[in-house]
Amino acid sequence: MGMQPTAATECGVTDLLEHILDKGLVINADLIISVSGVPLVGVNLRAAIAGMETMLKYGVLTDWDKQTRDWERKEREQKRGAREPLAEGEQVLLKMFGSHWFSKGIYRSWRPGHLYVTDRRVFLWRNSPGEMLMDIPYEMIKGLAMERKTNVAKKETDYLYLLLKDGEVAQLHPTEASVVKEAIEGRMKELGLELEEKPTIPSLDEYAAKFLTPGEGVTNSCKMWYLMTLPSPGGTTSDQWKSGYLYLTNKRLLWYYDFDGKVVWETPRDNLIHATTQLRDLGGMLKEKQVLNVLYKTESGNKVACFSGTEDEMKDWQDALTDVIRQRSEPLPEDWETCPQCGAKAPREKLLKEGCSVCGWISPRLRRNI
Amino acid sequence: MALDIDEDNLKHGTLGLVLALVEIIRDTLRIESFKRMEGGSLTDEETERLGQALMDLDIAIEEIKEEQGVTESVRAVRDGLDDIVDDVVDRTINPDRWRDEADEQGI
Repeated sequence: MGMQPTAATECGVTDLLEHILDKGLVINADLIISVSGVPLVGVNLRAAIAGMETMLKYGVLTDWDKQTRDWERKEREQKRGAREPLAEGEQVLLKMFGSHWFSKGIYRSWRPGHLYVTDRRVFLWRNSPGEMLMDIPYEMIKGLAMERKTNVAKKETDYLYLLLKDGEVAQLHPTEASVVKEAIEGRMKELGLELEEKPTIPSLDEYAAKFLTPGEGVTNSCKMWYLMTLPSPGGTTSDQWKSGYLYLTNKRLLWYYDFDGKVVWETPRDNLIHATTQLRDLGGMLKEKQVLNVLYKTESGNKVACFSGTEDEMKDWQDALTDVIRQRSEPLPEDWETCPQCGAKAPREKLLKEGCSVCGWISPRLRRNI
Repeated sequence: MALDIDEDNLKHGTLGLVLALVEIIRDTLRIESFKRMEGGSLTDEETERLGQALMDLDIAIEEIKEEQGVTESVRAVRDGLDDIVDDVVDRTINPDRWRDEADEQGI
């Protein structure tokens, strides 16, 4: 008997599944459950099962695939980022909870994290999401200064200022400012770096220092054009755009004219009615510029003040002023809360996850995470 | 294939069956994962992670089989299942066999 050819259809469970998943399987079924010939429940089934690669090939579930993987990646990045980025061989001398005053354009807020004093530098690190909030090598530090201030919650706390050689000032609010100061001083002595004796704390905002009344603090400020009404010959008036600074404090909104060195326009926060932005030609080359119109109450009726700056700033200001007006005039929106420390109002989520942007308060849970 | 589970071989039978199914799922996942890797949409890091996870799963399953001494039972169940599938597929794609079978049974 000669050899018999055999069909090699050796096929296991996994091979079968592989084939099914590779090609994909579509089930389309209509089902009726009836009792005594009376249909009671109807089921219309459409199911497609296939390997993910096959699904993607046919453009099914692509968004979901991407989202799932992106989400996972973000989670992992956050977890990975949860470690403070220490250089090799860098030693941590002191670690303490603290916040750093961050100010950029109109955005100003206390950003909380962990303050590290290492053998090389001082930095503030936030764990989730991992971000370096401040990073200063000792070589940059010119002097240290501490100031006891009453914070918004009417409590006395110490603030630590790192005066830097480039003229900048880093404002820190650690749990124990004096301990941090000693640690930095000690380490800089070891490194043979000199610190100024009794440095003067430069006013962080020279203009604001001139007009702020006791208990008043700046919440927003930026360079801004203002449409000023000037007397012109012949007893009439004319409007001219002037460059200055717009400040929002906890008491009023004001425009400071640095050329004259005085506040030219102001209105109490309570008198603000409405803030809108619009595109306007400002004359000359300034066509189609964003203008912020602020409607406010005065004794002689409602008036409008016009400001102009960059587009982003206009939007920020509109939002900031709208917030002021809304906080005053309306009961809190449902998902808003007041900060337990200073009473500022903010969306609950924001307050819990990012802390209070006004006084730097952060929730105990967030504190643990950081 | 007959799977006899009684009081004496309760563990071997049940655990063997369960592990055989787990192995089949694992094999299927592995094949799909290869396809995804070849598909090219995964990043290097994802590929790395996927490979690591499948390897860990392999080790875990092997460990359980060793620990419980059910390696043979699992093998038996899988072989049995493979045979059944083989048989079914063979018959499905070769209608001739129906006739042969019918002939054999004298129908």
